[in-house]
Amino acid sequence: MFKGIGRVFKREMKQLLGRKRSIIIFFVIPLFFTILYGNIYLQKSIKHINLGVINHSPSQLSRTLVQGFEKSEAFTVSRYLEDEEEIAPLMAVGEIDAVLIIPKDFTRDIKKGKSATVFVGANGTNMTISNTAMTEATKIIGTVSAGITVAKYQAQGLNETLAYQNVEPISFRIRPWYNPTNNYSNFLLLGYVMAIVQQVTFYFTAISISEERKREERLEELLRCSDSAFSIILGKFLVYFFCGVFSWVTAFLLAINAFHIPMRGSYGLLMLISLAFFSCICALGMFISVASKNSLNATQYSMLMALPAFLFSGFTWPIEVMPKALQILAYIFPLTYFANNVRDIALLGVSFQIIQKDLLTLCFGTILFFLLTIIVFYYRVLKKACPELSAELKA
Amino acid sequence: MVRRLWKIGVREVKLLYQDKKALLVVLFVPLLYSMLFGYLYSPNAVKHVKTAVVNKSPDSTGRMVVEGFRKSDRFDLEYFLESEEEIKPLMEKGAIDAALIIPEDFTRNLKKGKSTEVLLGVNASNMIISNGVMASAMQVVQTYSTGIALQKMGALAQPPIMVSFRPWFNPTFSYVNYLLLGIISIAIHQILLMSVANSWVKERETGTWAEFMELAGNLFTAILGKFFTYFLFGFFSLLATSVAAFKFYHLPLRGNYELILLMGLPFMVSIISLGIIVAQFAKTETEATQLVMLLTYPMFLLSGFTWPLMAMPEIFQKVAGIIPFTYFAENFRRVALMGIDYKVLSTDFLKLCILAIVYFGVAVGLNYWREKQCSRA
Repeated sequence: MFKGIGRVFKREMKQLLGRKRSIIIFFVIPLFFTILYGNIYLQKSIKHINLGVINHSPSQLSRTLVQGFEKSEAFTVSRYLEDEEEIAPLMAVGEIDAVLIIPKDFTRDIKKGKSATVFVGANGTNMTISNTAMTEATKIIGTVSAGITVAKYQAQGLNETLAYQNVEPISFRIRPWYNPTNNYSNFLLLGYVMAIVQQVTFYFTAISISEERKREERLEELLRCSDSAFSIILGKFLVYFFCGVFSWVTAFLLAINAFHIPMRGSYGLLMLISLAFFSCICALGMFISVASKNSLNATQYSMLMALPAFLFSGFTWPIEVMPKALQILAYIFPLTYFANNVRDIALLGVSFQIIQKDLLTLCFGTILFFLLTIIVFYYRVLKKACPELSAELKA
Repeated sequence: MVRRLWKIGVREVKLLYQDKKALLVVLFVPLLYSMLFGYLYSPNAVKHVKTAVVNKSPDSTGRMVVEGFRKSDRFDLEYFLESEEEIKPLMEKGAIDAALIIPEDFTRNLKKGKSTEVLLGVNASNMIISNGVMASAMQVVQTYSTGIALQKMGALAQPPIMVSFRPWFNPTFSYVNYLLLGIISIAIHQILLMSVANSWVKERETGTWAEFMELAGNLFTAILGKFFTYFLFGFFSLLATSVAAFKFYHLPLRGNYELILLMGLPFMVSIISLGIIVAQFAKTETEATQLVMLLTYPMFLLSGFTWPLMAMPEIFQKVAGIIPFTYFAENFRRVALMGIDYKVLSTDFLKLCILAIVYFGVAVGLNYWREKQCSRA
C-alpha cells in the first residue's frame, strides 16, 4: 500500500512541479501578495487627516487647542472655515475628512472655571478614518485640557508637581492591549496572507481529481499506480498538503519579518494549527473536486467560497456580533478555526489550551472530508469510468 | 448589424442556459452576496462587549463608576475579578474583550484630592472590536452616570475641555453603511469579469470560434455582440443588488440614484474590456477563472475603499488610479451616504470614462492582433 501511495505522490508531484504556471501560482503568488498587502498597510495607521477648523472663540486658549491638532501626526490642519455650512460641501469633495468646531463661549466658560465642549466631526463613510480621528482627537484634547488645568493651578501658586496631581481627579484611560499603537497591519495582514494561501491551495486540490477525469487514459494510468482508492486519495492529498504548508510558512515568515508583525507565541503551536488547517483545506478541496462535474465547476465553487470564508471567519467582523443564523454558517468554513487563532498566537501569544478545541475540530473536519472524498471517488468516479479496473481495487 | 448583435446576444444566453449553473451565477450570485453580507453586517455596530471588572475600591464611589458601565447597552459586565492577573487569561480565551480596572487607592486618592485613574483595557488585536469599545466608552464616560454622579459628590472637577464626537454621514458608526456597497461592487466585478473571460475562452477552447465569427460577420461585431449581452447582465446585477441594499437593508440613499447608474456605464464597459483582456492570457476556462480570482482581492484592497488611498505608498495610489473599481466603489458610497452631486462626481466620472475607452481599445486591439497571428499560422 505504501508503495502505491508513494507512486501516486511522485506522479502528482511531477505533474504539479512540471508546470511553471503551477509553481508560480502555488509558491510565488502568495509571497508576491504578502509583499503587496504588507506595503498597502506599510504606514500602519492613518496619518495627516485633513482637518477643517472652525474657531468661534478666537483666543490664546483656543489657539493652544488648535496647535495641539497641528502638532499631531494624525491631523493636518488644512482649512480654516467660518461657518458650519461649509463643512459638508468640503467633505463631499474630499478636501477635509475631519472638522474641529470650537464654540462661541469656549474661552469664557473655561475662564469661569466651567467646562466647555468642543465638537469633533469626521467623515464616517470610511470608518478607518473616522475611528482614527476619534481616537487621536480624544488624546489631543485630553492633553490640552490637562495643560490648561495645570496652568490654572500654577497661577494660583501651586508648584508644578502639585499642580499635576490636581489635574483631572479621575482620569479615564483606554489602553489598546496587544496592539498598543492601533496598528492596522498587525490587525489585518496575517488574515490576508492566510486567505491567499488558502485560495491557491484550493485551486490545485479542487482540480486534482477532476483533471484526471478529463481523459480515460489518465484515469487508467492513475489506477495502475496504485492498489486502492484510499492510497490514490492519500497520495494526492499529501502533495497538496506539503505544498500548502510550505507556501504558508514561507509567506508567514515573510510577513512577520518584512513587516514587523510581533510573534509572541510559540512556533510549535503555530505549526500544529497550520498542519491541522491545511489538512482540512486539502481534504475539503479534494471533496469539491470529486463532487463537481469538471475542473471549471470545481474552480468556480472554490472561488465563490473565498469571499464568504474570509468575511465569515470572524477575523474582521466578530462572530458574536453576527446574526445567529449566520454564526452557524461561519462555523462551517475551516478558516474560522484558523484565522483568529493565528493572530492570537502572533499578537496575544495564546497557549495550547486555548486553541485545542479548534485544533480538534479541524482534525475532525479533515477525517470527515477525507472519508467522504474516498467514498465519492470510489463510487462516482472509479466505478463509472473504468468498471473493470475498479473491480480489482479494494475501496 | 443590429440584427447580428441581437443574434449574438440570443446565442450567448442560450449558451449560458445550456450550462444552467453559469446563468444562475451571472444573474444571482451578486444578489445573493449582497443579501448575505447585508445580513452579516446588519447588527451595524459592536455592542454588548463582554467586559470584566476589577474593582479594588469597592465602596460607593467605585461602584458608581461600575454602575455607569452596567447601565450602558454597550458593555456586558460578565466577570467580577479580584486581581488584574485574571484578566489576560480570560482575554486570551476570548471570554472577554475589555476590562475595567478601578485601582485600590481610587477612593482614598479622591478624598485626598490626588489624581487617580480608571483604566479600560481592550483587546485591540481585532480593531473592529477595540474601535467599537472606544466609541462606547466615550459615550459612557460622558453621558452616563459615571461622570455625573462623581461630579455631584464633588469628587470630579470636570476637565476644562470635553469633546463630543460625531461621525458625519454615518452617525451610528454603522458597518453596513461602510462596507456593503463595496462588497456589492466587488461581487458584480468578480462575476462579470469571470463570465466575460470564460465566454471568450470557451469559444476558443471548444472550437466554436469559427462558427461564432461566421455569425458575427467581422471581429468588431463579434466583440460588440458579446459586449452588449454582458453589459445588460451587469446592469441587471447593479439594479438587483441596489434594491437589496437600499430597500431591504435600508441603507441611506441621500444622492441621486441616476448618478450611480451613470457611473455604472463606464464601470461596466471597463470590466467587460478587462474580461476580454484577461481571456487573452488564459488557455482554458479554469485558468481564466483562476486569473480573475487572483485579480479581484488586490483590486479591492488597493482601491482605497477600506484602507484609504492617502495612507498608501504613492506608487500604490498611482496603481489604484488605473483600476476602474477605485472610481466606482468609492463614489457609489459617496452618492449613497454623502449625497454628492454631479459636479463633485464629474472628475472621477471623466477619469473612469477615459479608463473605459483605453481598456476597450486594448481589448479590441488584442483581439485583432491575435486574429492576425492565427491567420498567419
